[in-house]
Amino acid sequence: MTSPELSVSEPSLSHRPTRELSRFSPDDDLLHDEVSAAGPLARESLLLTAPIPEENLLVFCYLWREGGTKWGRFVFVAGEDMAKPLFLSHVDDAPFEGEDLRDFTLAGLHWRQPEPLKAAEVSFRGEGLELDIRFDGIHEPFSWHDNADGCPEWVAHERFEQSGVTRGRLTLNGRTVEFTGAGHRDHSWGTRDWNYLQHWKWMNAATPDGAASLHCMIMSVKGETLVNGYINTAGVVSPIVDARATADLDDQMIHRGVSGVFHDELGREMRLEAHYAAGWSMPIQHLLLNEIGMAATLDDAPATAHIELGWPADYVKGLTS
Amino acid sequence: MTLTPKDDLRHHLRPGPHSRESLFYDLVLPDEGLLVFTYTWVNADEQAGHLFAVVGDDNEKLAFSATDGVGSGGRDFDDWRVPGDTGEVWVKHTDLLRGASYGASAEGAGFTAELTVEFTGTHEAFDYARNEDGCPDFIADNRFEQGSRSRGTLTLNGREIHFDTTGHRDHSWGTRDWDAIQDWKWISAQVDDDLQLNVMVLHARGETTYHGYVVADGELQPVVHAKTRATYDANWWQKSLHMTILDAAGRRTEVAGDRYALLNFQAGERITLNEAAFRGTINGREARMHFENGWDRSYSDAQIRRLGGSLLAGS
Repeated sequence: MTSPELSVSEPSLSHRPTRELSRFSPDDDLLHDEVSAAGPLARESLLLTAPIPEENLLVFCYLWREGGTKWGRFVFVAGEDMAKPLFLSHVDDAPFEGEDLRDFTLAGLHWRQPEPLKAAEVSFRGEGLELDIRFDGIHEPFSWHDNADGCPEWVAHERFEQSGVTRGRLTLNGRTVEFTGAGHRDHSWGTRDWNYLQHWKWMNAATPDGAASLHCMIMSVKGETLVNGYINTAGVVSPIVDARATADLDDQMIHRGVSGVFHDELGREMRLEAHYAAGWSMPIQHLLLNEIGMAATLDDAPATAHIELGWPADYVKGLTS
Repeated sequence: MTLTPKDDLRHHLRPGPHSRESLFYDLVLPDEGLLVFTYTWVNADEQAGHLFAVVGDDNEKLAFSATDGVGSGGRDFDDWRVPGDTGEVWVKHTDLLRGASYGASAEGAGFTAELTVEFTGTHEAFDYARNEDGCPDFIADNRFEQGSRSRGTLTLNGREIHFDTTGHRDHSWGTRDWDAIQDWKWISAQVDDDLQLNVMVLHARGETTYHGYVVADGELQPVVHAKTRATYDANWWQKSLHMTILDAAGRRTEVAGDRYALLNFQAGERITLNEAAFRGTINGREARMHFENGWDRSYSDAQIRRLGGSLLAGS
C-alpha cells in the first residue's frame, strides 16, 4: 500500500501557533518500559480505528500490555446492531512475537509501524476475518500535556492522538469491502485507573482528504470536567481550550447523533455533526463503552467520525431496564 | 416562568415515585464550628418528612432527628409542621418570597437541640428556570434559591447560641429522579447581605449544566458557567474548593474555602450526600459557605477503597 495524496492547505500567518507544541521522538512509537513496565496499573496501549460509515461498518483494533508482561488485544468489526458485532476476537493473555512495537504479532494481529510517528499497517487473519489497514497520520502526534487540563497521571504518563487517512480491505463472511477514508489512532503509556471516570466523550473526526480533523476528549471526573484534544485545519494543529458537545441518546443510551462546538488556542471554532452508522456496546470492567462509527461533517465538510461514549454500566442499566 | 408569591407555598404534585416538594434552610456558624441543617419534604401522597441536624466535622452528629411517612395533615407552608419521634421541624412562610420563620428540635441519647430562626431574604428569590440551562425536569419542575439575613437562637444541650448572620434557603417541586443524576455540586456562599451566591453544577446523562446566581454590586445575575476544583479526604468527603464562576453579565467570581463541618446521609439506594460547611472567601473577602456534593455511591465507594478510607464512616 502507498500513502494517499494529502490535501493540506498552507497555513495562514494569522493561524500560526502561538507556542511550540510537544514533539515526540521516533522512539515514542515504541515501548516505554521506564514508566509502563512495572507498578500497579502499569499499562501501554495502541489503538487504531477505521470507521467506514458508507458501508455501515466500524473496524477497531486495540492492544495493551499490563504490568510489563501480560499482553492483550481485541479486534472487532461492528455493523448496525449495537448489541452484537459482526466479528469479535478478544484475547486477554496473548503471546507477543516480534520486535518492540516496530513489527510484532499478538495472536494473529500483525502490527507494523514502518514510518515512525506517521504510519501504521495492521493485518489480521483468522476466525473468518481477513483485514488489512494502512493508516497515515495527517499531522504530528498530539500530546494531551499540551492542553490546559494536561494528561492526568491516572490516565497515563503520556498519551498521543493522531488523525489519519485509512486505506484497506476486509473480507468477512464472504463480503469483501475495500475502503479509503479517515481514521484515528492513539498510543498511551503509564498508569491507567478506570475508576476515576464517571463519563466521557472521545470524539474523533476527519475529512477523507485530510484537510481538517478533530480530536476531543471530554471527561467527567470527580464531578469536574476535563477537556483535551486539538483542532487541525489550514495545516495547523492547535490545542482545544473549550468544548461543548451534546449527544442524542436513544432509550438504550446509545448515541445516535452528536453535535459539538470546539474552540482552540488560536481562537478558531470547529463544529461537528455526526450520525450513527455502525457500532458496538463494549463492556470493560464496570464500564460500558459505546464505540460508534459515524457519518459526520466538520464545519459542513463531509467527514468520518469515531465517537466513543463511556458510562458506568450500572448507571446505564438503571436508566434502561 | 416567573415566580409569584404563591410559589412560596405548596404546589400540586403529579403522582409518581419521584414526585416531591422540599424546603431546605441552611445555617452555617463557623465561629461555633457548626453546620445547622434543616430540611423538610412532602410527596404527592401527602406523606411528609424532616431531617434536622447540628453537626461538627467528620459527620459528628451533635443533634439529629429524621423521619419520613408522616401525614401532612393538609398543612401548607404558611404553617408547616412535621413532628417525629426524635424531634420536629416547623416552617412559617408568612411574607411570601421575602421572609419566613422556621425552627426545629431534636432529642436523643445525650443531646437536646432547639432552633428558632427569623429568615429575611436579602435579594429576590432566584429560580433555576431563569438560567440558560433551565431547571432540568429530572430535578424539579422548578426550584428557587435565596440568600438571607438569619437571626435566631440555637440551644444545644442547654447552651444558648445567638446568631445574626447570613443564611440561605431553597424550595423545589416536581420530580426528583435520583437515578438520572451522576453527581452534583451545590454551593451557597455569602460575605454579607450584598455579596452572595448560589451555584449548582449538575451532571446527568453525560451532560453538565450550570444553575444559580451571583449577587454583587447590587446586581443579581444568572450563572452561565462554573469551573470547580475540589479536593477530598480518604472518606471522599470534600476538603477544599476553588470555583470560578462566570455570570450572564460576564463577571468572574472566585470562591475558595476549606471544610470545618460535614454531614453525610443517603438519599435513596444510589445516592450519597455530603453536606459540608466551609470557611473561605469570595473574591478575597471572608465568606461562609455550604458546599454539598452528591455522588452515585458506587463511584464514591470506589474512591474510598482507592484512598483507603472507611466505607462505614457515613451514616
